[in-house]
Amino acid sequence: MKFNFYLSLLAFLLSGSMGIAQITITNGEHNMEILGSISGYYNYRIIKPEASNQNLNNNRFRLRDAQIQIEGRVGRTWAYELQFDVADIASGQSSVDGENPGLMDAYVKYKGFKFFDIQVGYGKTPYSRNSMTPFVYSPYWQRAQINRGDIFTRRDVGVTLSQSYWKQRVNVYGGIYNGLGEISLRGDNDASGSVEYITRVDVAYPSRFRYREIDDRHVPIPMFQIGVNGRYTKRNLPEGGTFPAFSGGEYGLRVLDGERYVYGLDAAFMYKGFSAMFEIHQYRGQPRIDSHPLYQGLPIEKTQGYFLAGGWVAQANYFLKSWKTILSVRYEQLDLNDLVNGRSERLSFALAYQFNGFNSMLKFQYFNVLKEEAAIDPLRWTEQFRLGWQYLLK
Amino acid sequence: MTWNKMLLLFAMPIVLMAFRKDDPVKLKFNNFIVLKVPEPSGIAVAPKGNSYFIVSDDAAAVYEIDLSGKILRSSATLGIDLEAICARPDFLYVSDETPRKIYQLDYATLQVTRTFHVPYSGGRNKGFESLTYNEAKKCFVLITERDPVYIIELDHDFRQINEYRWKHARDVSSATYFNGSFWILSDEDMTVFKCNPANYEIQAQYKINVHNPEGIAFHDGKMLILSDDMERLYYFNQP
Repeated sequence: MKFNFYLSLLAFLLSGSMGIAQITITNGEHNMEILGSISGYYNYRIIKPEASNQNLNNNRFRLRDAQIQIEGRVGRTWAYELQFDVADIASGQSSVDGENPGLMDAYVKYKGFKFFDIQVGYGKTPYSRNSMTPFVYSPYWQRAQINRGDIFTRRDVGVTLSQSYWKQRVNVYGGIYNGLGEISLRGDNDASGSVEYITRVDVAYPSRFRYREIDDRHVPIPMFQIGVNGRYTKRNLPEGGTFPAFSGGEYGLRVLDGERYVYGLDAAFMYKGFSAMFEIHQYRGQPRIDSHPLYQGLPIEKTQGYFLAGGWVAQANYFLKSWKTILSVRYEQLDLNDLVNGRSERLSFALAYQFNGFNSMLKFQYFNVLKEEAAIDPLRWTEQFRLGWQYLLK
Repeated sequence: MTWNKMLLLFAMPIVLMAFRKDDPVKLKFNNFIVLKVPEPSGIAVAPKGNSYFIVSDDAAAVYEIDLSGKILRSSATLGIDLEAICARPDFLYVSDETPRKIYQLDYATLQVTRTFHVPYSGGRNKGFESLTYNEAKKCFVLITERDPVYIIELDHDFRQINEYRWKHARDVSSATYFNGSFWILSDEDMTVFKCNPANYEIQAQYKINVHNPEGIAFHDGKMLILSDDMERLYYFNQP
């Protein structure tokens, strides 16, 4: 039995090594590149002995990514990207996984203006450095809870203006979006017809700092980046109006009948193989109706007409260059509602071995739930292990 | 799993690091100058030795600077993604990475006099980052950046003559021929490789403490390393 298990695991992991390399087609003006990725892991959870639900359905192999990405440039002024994940589309789920949706990018960018670039379509919103960092450059199998798309949306349909200054050390973004996140792809807006505004500024020193977690080059100079971002939406549903199904996400925070501010700060550092990041986000929700469930049944005198959510995440990494190995540790805190006592805390370790850089990487992540916010988000597990392979078609 | 086991798992690679083999010889730069060329990505010494030609990725143009770094002149926008430059006695040659084009430029006007197309279907941003002339074999050499690194020898009309698969670095950002040797620069490994120009086998290698090195040249007893992100030209003693 055990032999069969290990044989299956090996076969599953090796299947990730089959793939084509990155391909570019060009006519000299229009350059189109085809990329992709395949990744999968085995997940094992330790369930609380006292949990009423001893269902072990999370002990399983999972195909996380089967992505195809088409990137193009037309001359120096036009760019486009189409990226989708067949694994998520094939799952047939009605709900949306904000961390890993079926359609990941579908936008066109114009770079011909002097003062800003303009991007139109669907893609990542310019909020949270960690969210903007491509997942394939992470040794982890899952982002921190606060950045997974359950508190704020990570992708949406809209228009983004961006520009870089000071030798690309300063990046400025501003955008206007539907505000429903990935649910925007289903067509209609909600009955309020409102939009969401997002802005971000980050500054790096002493050179530009790409959105990466790991210092796989062992940069010879200390590099820093600090970013601030904010987002705002006000959605007043008319009498009888509702939000589209699943738009609220796991905790009902992604959209709100009322006013919502989210603001955050992030910092990143790299030097000689060591890298670290810190992110903090604060969510202020002002539901329009006093009886809104997010007020937790408390009177207006107690809530003052708002609730807060938010948390922070800190991560430290070291890249052992001669061992082609990444070591990482991450600590995170999340408070889903300040009107309820308690917050969750998690500690994760990750270890990744690079067969061929990030293109072919064995990744292991260990999760430990140190504390849970049982009143809002009760868990039946305490620890979790994920071991798998990431293979990029590059 | 207990905490002790987890700590052991993560401490083991760090302990093993103590027994790793030594790195190659490390070189330190003597000084540097700050360039006004945006995103410089390749450098070549002018045939007369009194100026340098630098390609700018950001401006997609060629700049001529004097030995102190002052810009003397620049070309019009040439292409999409200029990454490498080679100065021959008669013409300048520039690699446009994304569309796989090589431009031949007239020294007097910095205008394109001829365009060559060298097909390569690898990654859009992993094309020809290096362009130089191998004096020992009397041929041009183009090198793909990574995934994989190919050294391609071409005749004077940029028709392929030979090809080598080179596996000694994670990437190659520049190359040049100097003093009977073929020199290859790796950005990600921050290493300069001195190679046999006949077969590109490594004869020596040197680590350099430069962030994002994208160009290499030799002049006046110095090795010049160009940093793209820092927009600086670093001077090393010739190894």
